[in-house]
Amino acid sequence: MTYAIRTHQLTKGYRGKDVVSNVSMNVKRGEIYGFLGPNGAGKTTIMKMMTSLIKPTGGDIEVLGTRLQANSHEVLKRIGCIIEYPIFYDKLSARKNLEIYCEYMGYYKKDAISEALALVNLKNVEDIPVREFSLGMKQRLGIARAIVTKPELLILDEPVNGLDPIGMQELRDLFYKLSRQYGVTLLISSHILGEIEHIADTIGIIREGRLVEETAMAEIRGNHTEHIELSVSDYPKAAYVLEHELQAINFQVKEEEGLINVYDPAISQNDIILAMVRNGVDISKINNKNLSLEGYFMQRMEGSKKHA
Amino acid sequence: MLNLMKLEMKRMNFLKIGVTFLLINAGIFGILLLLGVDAEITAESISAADEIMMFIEIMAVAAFVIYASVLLSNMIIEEFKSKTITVLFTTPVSRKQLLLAKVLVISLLTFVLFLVSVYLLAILFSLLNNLYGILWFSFPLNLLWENTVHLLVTGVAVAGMALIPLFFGMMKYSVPATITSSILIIAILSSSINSDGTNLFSFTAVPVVLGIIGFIIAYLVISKAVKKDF
Repeated sequence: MTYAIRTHQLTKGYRGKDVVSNVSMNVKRGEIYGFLGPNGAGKTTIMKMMTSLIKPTGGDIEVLGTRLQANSHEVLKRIGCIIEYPIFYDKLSARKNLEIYCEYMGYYKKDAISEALALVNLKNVEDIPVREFSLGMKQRLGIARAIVTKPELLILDEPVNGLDPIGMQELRDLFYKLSRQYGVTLLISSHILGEIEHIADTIGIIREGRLVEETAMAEIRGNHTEHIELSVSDYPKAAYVLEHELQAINFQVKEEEGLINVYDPAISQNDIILAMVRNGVDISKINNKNLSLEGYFMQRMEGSKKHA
Repeated sequence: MLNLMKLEMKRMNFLKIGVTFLLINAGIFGILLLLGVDAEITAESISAADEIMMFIEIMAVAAFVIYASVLLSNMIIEEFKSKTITVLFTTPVSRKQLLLAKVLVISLLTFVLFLVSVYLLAILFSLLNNLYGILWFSFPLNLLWENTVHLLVTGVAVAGMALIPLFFGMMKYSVPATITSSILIIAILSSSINSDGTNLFSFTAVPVVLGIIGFIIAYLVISKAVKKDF
């Protein structure tokens, strides 16, 4: 497995206070990495360190196989990014802005700018000065600038901010296409799970400068979304019944909470009731639970708060 | 490095710079013509050809040091203030070279504009003076050729001096501070220090020292920006 970005014990402190501490994250090549966390958790700071805009006070970063150092700017040629909010030369047109960027990037393919503008759906406005753009248009132009040089890695900080729902969907489709068709690695930050849960392959959750979780989406979906929750009179016996009579593999007994969670999709509520009755276990409560991803992440974020 | 300088120049509006250059020279030339209006008043401060030469020089220095501060504002201060510089910092260009290119382009341009301006004004004024007798004494052109070395040295000094406003402008990324400080430098440099109209600029050492200070300031400003977090 090769990685597009790896950080090791990455730390950034300002005046003795760590805003990012010991973050070790792994972004695999070709995947979409959803970088999730509340505002002010340190997402932007980490992304700035990855693009050499600020320097870490501890740990190190490896981007596209290059270990970042004070003078490693060559690797930036292969990265496209939006950090914080897209910044442009306001007086210049959209096209001129991209032209300047391409010149500094050392990228001279002629049609690239028109192609990028078409991809983000900014047509017929390329000669208008950017100061006349709406926030949504600026956001699109920012993405166009990030992709215009066909980078291998895209680092996008809250890229769908300020867009309407249709615009968000359009861009999500674009990100998905870039990842699946062109093999681009994307690191996308957001404070709203709904913005990225459908396209992300991996989710990293950051809270108060610490990476509290890094999990593959497939795993989360398989494990935590749907389950049956029941309360019974005799927990050890119920567990025995589940295991031996129903051949359940994936279930969890939380006796102190008075709960059993059954995650096995092959087992229905009905199967459980029948089996329990047959074995003389009383069921006081049985429910189909549908824990949304939102709920799952909220739980993780709050849970980690207690530990911290 | 050369490529970066070319890139910077490509982004500049040379038509605008050309027009400004002509307007500045027209203005200075207008002042020179005024010297001929009242010989008595003129005689109080200017009474010989080399003083005319000095007068042209100081006018050109004033104009182009202030103009350089406008260029510094547009090409450096504004980029930091509006954070567009951070976009350039995410491109595969070394920060040091990027900023050095900007400073060098401005410095070089100031040097060229200053020298062209001095030669142009001196030649024009000399010709007109010979033809129409604007002044009661002659202003021979060989003064210009004799002073070539002095003018070149002054030109380099001016190119450095023009960078001093960077120090004030970069403190808070302020355009007004940049331009105001350039005017202040000129005011100090050109103010008379005694009754016969001698000013600080006429001691070649003063502009040379200021020029060196300017280059040092540019170096310090660049190394600070290279290390800074954005």
